[in-house]
Amino acid sequence: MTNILEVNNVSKFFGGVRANEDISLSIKQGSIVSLIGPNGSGKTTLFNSIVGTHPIDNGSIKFEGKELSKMLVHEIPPLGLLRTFQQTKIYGQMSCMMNMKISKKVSNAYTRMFDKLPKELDDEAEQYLSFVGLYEKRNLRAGELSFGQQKLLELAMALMNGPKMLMLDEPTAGINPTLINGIIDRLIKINDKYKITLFVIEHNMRVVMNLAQHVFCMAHGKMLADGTPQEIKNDKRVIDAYLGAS
Amino acid sequence: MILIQAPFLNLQAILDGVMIGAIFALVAYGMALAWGVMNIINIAQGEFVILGGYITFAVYKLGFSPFLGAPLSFAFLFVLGFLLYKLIVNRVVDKDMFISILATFGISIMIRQIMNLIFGSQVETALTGLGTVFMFDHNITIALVKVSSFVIAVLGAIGVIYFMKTSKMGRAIRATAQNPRAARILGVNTEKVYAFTYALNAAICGLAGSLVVMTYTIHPYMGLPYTVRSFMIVIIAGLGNIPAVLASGLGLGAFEELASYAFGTEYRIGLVFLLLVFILVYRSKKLAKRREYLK
Amino acid sequence: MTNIKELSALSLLMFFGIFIPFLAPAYLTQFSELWIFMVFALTWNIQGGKMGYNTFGNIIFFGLGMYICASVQIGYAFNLADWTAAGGYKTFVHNTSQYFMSLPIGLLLAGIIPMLVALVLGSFMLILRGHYFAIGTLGLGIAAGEFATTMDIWGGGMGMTVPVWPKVDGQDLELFFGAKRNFFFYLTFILFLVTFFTLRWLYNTRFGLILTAIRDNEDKAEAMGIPTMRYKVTGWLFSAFFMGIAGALFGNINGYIEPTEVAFNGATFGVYMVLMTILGGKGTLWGPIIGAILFQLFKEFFWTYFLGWQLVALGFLIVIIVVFFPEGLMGWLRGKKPEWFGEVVDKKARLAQVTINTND
Repeated sequence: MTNILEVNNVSKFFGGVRANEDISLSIKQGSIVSLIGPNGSGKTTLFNSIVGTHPIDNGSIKFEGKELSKMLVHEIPPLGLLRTFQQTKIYGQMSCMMNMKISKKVSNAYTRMFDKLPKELDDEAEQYLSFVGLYEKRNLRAGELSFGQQKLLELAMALMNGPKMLMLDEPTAGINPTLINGIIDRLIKINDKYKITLFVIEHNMRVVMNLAQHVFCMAHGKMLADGTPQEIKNDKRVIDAYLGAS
Repeated sequence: MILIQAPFLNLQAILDGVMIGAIFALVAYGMALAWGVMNIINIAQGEFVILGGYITFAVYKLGFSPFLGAPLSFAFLFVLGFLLYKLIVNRVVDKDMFISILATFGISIMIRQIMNLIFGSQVETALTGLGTVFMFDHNITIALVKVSSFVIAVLGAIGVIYFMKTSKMGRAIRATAQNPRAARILGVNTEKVYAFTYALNAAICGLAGSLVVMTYTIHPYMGLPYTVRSFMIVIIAGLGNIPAVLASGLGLGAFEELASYAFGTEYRIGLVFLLLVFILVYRSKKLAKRREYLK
Repeated sequence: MTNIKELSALSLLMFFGIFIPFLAPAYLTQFSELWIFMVFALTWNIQGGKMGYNTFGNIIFFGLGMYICASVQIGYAFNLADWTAAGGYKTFVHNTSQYFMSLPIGLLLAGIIPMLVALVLGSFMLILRGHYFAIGTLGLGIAAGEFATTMDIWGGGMGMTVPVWPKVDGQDLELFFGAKRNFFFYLTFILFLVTFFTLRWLYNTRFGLILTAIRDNEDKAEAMGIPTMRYKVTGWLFSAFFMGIAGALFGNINGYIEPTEVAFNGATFGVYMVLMTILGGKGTLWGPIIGAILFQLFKEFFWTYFLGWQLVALGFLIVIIVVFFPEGLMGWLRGKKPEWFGEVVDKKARLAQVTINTND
């Protein structure tokens, strides 16, 4: 099994703050991996570093062997790597269906910019919306969905793009606890059925235990420990980090 | 090139530039106030300046010294600013910034046209009777009125800053600028603060305008360049940095004078607007290296 | 959205567009201006309404197109510098062949050269966002006017005249539909139609959808792999093309070109295009058209009854619209009848302040 993502010695400083310090990790293709750590440990910064939201100060990031660190944000999704946001980002004034249709990965060549959206796109969009349970809401304006529904929409949009790997930033945060199981099931299904590698930032330990095959734990900008969920759960360093985190 | 070959011309330009630059800095400070406290970019800023100039001009026309017009311009514009806030600006304070830009743009058009109708479209100035000082063998001329307006501008700025630091309203303004919601919880009447801030900004512009009419000229359509200048200075200096505002203002003044000498006065205004574009683009490109953008 | 409403509105416009020269020839200039205003608003809407980039700089293309077309028209037959120096159309008179050979070339270049300018300007201006883009383009628009004032070959601050309609045996040349005023009326109407149908097509393609995605969340669009800069600049090319030709036609109708009052008038035309689009409703196809009609009505009313105060009234109108009707007429309509816009509203969800998810 190859490594779909390889992060080597990545550092990112913001002024004096060492948000990411010498982070290394690798993720096997087809796996579900979780990234945990107390608030402020640098998890979202690492995500941002990987997908090019900001340049990194040091290190290398390889996706399927291609170096990402010099690329611009929009150059990365065509390679097959997508991320969702902690603060859900969707196109608020457009309908859910339009949100979906615009998420399809297509050529941006000048000759293709003015193509009409094919009818098949509607079917595909509806299929994914059904998958996340938003079929009934498909013609509503995305901005009028509830917070949880928007998170699901963002997930559906990501699926529409046909990624090889999905980086999810706290996909269950702020979701009604009774619905979290549904999300866990869907994520497992995504990984299993669509063969999408998942890299998930999570605070909810129940989710991590039920979802992840491998866990990385960060603290204070550094990689603290990694292992199977069971190993991490019992790792003293991890426990200390969470208990001692300010 | 002419700049290199004529050191006195350079020095003259820089001196003149610094003296008008103080006025630019004053107007910029007012804009920074409105921007920082209420998130309003006041497009009518220049029109407030010119209107202040006309008030002082009217005083001068009635036979008094223009210097008496300065406090009158200040007071008149304060009241006008307050009224405009209560009638119009308070409805756009919490909305999208483009809405407030358009609203203040509308106000600027109204004021500009009303000034045109009342005062006519000829260029005006108010004579102070102050003389000129010559230095370096008549190579450098220093108009005393420019020196006095420089001094007044600086004193005016110091006065406002002192007010902001010591008075109750000043502290309320600073608190609201930092965090309106917190200020409200702590008992600050943000509506009153906003009204006062907008009025104060207008008054500062009025004062600047009275200096402009004494030292240079005014014309109903000369407002927008002042708005653009203060916008530029605020972008360069940042919202909270007073020494930077002063330095940028003086620098801009010097730049304008030097550019006028180098390229000709008919290019002056065009160059001011081009400089604005240049600064914006330069700043953006620098931020783009960090994959950020001007917010 | 080919439906009865659109069809009837279009038919009405077609009726006016074809028959006004015969039914109401006194109003030819106002109607020609109306078609041009529609182009103003339709093209501003591409950036301001659809893409969320409020520009005050589209006037640059208008003014450029105006000067370029006139330059071509004049330069075809005479020396441009001589023309502006020595009285323009009073001294140099175009004959029929010169006039009708130079005009199409002028119009074509009036469309193409602003596009190239948009390509260059867009490469750095479209990096700016929000109010920085707005004020930056405002600066550019006014700088254009100021620099045009220094161009002596274009008559500097005094401006220049455009070629006069050719005369045959001392009388204005009469074509089958009329003379100059009719000719340019039809040309401006055709320009409006071409602009309208082009945008109608454009907004139904993926390009149109990407424009609104950029407006709603540009960062998300980039994060989904869309090279937004490419789309932003291309959108500006569309505006530049139509605005350039609009300028060329306006210059001919007006008879003379002056840099800050006619060609690059940011304070009037530059603001009109924003106002009209907002008045009608940003982001829709018909909003700008309705806004242009309403605005032209207001304007004619003010100009007739408030002479001298019309610009004060304009400022006042801006304030009123922006403060009380920021969504415009179409926005108001959208709130009342969302079905007309193909939208579905979940009334229950709207009423509830807190929605509890019961079932997926």
